[in-house]
Amino acid sequence: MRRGHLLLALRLCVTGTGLALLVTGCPPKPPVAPVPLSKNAPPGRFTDRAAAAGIEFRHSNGATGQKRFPEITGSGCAFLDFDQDGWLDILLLDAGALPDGGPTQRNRLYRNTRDGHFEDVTEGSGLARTGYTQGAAVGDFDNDGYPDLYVTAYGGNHLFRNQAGTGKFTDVTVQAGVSDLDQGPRYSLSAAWGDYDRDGWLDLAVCRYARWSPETDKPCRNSLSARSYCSPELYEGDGLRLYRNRGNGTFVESSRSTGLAAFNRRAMGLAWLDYNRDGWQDLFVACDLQPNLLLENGGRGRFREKAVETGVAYGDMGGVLSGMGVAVADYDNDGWDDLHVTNFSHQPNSLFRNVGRGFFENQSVWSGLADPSNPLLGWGCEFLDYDRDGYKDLVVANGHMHEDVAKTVHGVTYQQPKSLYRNNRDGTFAEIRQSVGDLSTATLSRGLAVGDYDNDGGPDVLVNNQNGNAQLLRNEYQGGHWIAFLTQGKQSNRDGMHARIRVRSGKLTQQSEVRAGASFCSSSDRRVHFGLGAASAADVEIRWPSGKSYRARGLAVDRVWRWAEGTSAPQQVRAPGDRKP
Amino acid sequence: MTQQPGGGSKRRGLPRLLIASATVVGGLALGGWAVQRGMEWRRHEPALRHFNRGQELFRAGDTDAALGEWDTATQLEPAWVVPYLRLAEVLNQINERDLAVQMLVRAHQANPRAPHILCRLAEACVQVEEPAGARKYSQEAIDQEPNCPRAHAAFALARKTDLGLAAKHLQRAHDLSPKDPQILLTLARLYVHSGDVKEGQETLLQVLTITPPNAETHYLSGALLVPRARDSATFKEAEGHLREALRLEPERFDANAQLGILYLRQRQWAKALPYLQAARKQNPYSPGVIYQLATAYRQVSDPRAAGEWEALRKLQAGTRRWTDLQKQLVLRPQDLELRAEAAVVSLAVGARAAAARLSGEVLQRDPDNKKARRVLQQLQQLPAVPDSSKR
Repeated sequence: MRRGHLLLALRLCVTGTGLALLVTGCPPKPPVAPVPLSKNAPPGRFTDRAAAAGIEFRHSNGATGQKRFPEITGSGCAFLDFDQDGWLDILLLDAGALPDGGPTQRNRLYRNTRDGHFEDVTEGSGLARTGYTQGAAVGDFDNDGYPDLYVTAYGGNHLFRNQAGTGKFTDVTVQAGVSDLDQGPRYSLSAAWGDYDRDGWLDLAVCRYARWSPETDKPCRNSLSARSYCSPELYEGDGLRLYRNRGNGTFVESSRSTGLAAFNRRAMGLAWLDYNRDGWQDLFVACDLQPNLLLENGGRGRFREKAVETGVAYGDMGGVLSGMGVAVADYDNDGWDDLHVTNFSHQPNSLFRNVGRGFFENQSVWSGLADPSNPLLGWGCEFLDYDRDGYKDLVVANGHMHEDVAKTVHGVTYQQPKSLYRNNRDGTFAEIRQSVGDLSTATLSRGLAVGDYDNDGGPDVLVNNQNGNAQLLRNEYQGGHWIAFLTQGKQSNRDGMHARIRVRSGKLTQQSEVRAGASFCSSSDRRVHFGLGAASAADVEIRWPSGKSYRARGLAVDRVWRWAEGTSAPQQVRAPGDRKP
Repeated sequence: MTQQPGGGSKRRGLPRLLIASATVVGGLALGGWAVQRGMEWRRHEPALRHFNRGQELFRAGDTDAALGEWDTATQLEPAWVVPYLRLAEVLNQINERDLAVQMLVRAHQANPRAPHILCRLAEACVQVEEPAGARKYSQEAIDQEPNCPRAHAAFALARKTDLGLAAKHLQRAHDLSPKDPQILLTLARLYVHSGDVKEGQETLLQVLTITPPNAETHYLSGALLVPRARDSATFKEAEGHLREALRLEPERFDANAQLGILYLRQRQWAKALPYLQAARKQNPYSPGVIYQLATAYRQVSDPRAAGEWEALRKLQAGTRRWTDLQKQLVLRPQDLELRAEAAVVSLAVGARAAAARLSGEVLQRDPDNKKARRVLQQLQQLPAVPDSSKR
């Protein structure tokens, strides 16, 4: 008897045992222990000044124990200078209760009183109630010089027009055509402004996470048989929306015409970047348990998906990851923008180094980020040069979604500290754990924004914690010079978004683009900050999205410069110690 | 204490009586057992003849004929455990692991109290990546035989995502069977895969106290260091271990893959390529290897990168489809067409054990199912993939 026949016969005589064995998925990767602290890392102390500064915001996701899916994503936050006084103000978003935010939902707008304090100016601002609120994107869509706001929420997003810095915002969602309600309530998360067609008006990209509604919510249980949040795989992805700004206060939904509608992924975080430096803004999208997207802007109103061949679609073991937040910066100062993506616990965060030939190297393991990030569930993230040495460091908000994760998964906790990674200037990062101050407080962090709220030259961190108090983490690091730029477009968009600034100090050259929306559901200070170390002057070049470029030599350091398009040199905005305008 | 007259003789007489009685009872019991065993063997006699014939054929190298004889033995005497166990053992050796599981299930049905049967069943479920069965049987094995090292080892493997719990049970297994290097190697493997360098190295040192260095210990020592090989000393150490593993076992997929990744991270693209190519050939379904190979091709501007990215895309799409089918199967377990489709897709993504199991399940109910038969035929034509080819 031939073996094939024999084996088949053996199968046929087996008595119905196989059907009893359930077919289940591959087990997740086992946990990875974190690497020990690098002994050489300098301190990076951040102190929570929220309460002292008058910020008394406590987020609520309205969880009732039913474990409804949108409760996991929390809410974001933003640094914005809504009154254009040169001091960053703060927006903190609240989810409230599903499905519409409920009676207790209340966002908070805080005005910076320029003395280390903030004043709650929510009342009358028009921003207080926005439904089950998730994210915010800050951008001057009407080019009037005042930052406007796009707020995402389950059941309906909102576009708020800033009324000339008066502290009042008008909801222009319906007139502008960006409600995204044409096919019923959607579950949107991060959004970002960017001028993809270079017409001088900011367009808007929005992540729609998953097709969820209270009616389609699924009951799930964990290994302890307790009610638990479901895997996102149980919900279909809802893809992206791209709104092209017509320049007259209205937008046209252009997802189909640009090719973005083809990707119904579970999109969580996104960022505009010109990865191939062809002058056109591309869009990177972090997706949850689906391949990430890198949508290359061909310059003719069409995007092409390039994530797989550029090496950013998957983790370095070739698998899909749970992409959450996105940060963009040229961390190795080679002139090409790199990408950092936060992932689920037991999926190391991804660091994609742009090697400049239309390709990214996955440097997660080599950079030293993989091990310390492995037990953490990352959300918002941003590059920042906290020690002002000219190399971008990294801060990440962490926090799990399953309350009993410590009982079910080895080495993973529910509340988690934020991570600060110092750039070792050789392509690697060292996690700083000791003496980081209140960064080490374990929380359920979600949204994270970076900005220098006290104008001392040190980038500070704002964090929105799920069902917890918001944190305003002041960077206490002393030392190192700095320089920052506030751009003002004329032919280009008024924010000067995507202007590329190159700073040379001594032997070091750094580059950065003006960008506001990235991280997770959050928007950071759009001023471009550079650490300069010991350098006492900097030569600077700016290239505007319009194509114009200018150079300025020997700029004084430790101050913010305003650079208007069309002028050959920037104007000084603020010198050290200049507290009042 | 005062001794009563005559009491000593009474005491001497009582043990003699007891011994004599015990001898009689014992003899009767032994005789009864022997009679029963003899009857049992007699009852097994036709099956026994086929079983023994199978043993002879197997020793002579005719595995197929041996399998046939043992199978006949099970049909003649369905309640007799031994032929099932032998079938399971040999099926496992020829990489027919899903069938081995089913033989063990039948052995368990024939005699639920047979020694180590639950341990074997749990181990076998682990091997065919059947977590539900592995968890169930390993828990029962621990309950039934708490001092059986194999039960604890199987329990640990069934719960390897919980490293703390798995390590505890493997340690217990090691305490119960301190000379068995496989238990410690399993523990070391868990630490290596979890990236726990300190525990991994300590466990490997323990392994080397009971067994000389071999390909597996070299592979694990090297793999442990690959993610940390940023300085030249660590790099050289990792490289040395992996090269030695390959010298001892040139066909190791995992060592080829790790050595390729090691060179890739050192930006030694050209050096990485042959190892990654070898690994890719040995296991065409590893997304990690495809990703790394595509990266290496891309770095040296080799046009083959595009083909690898496309392969990765297809593999991921297949994996997604397979995941979807698994979910649907939970909801519709009786749907044979769905099960057959799942078999086809699982084979396409390299999940051979699942493909074999699913197609077998379909054929039990529908022996003429073409999809399931085709999957089985394809499985039989595929070259064997070593255990180490897990993704």
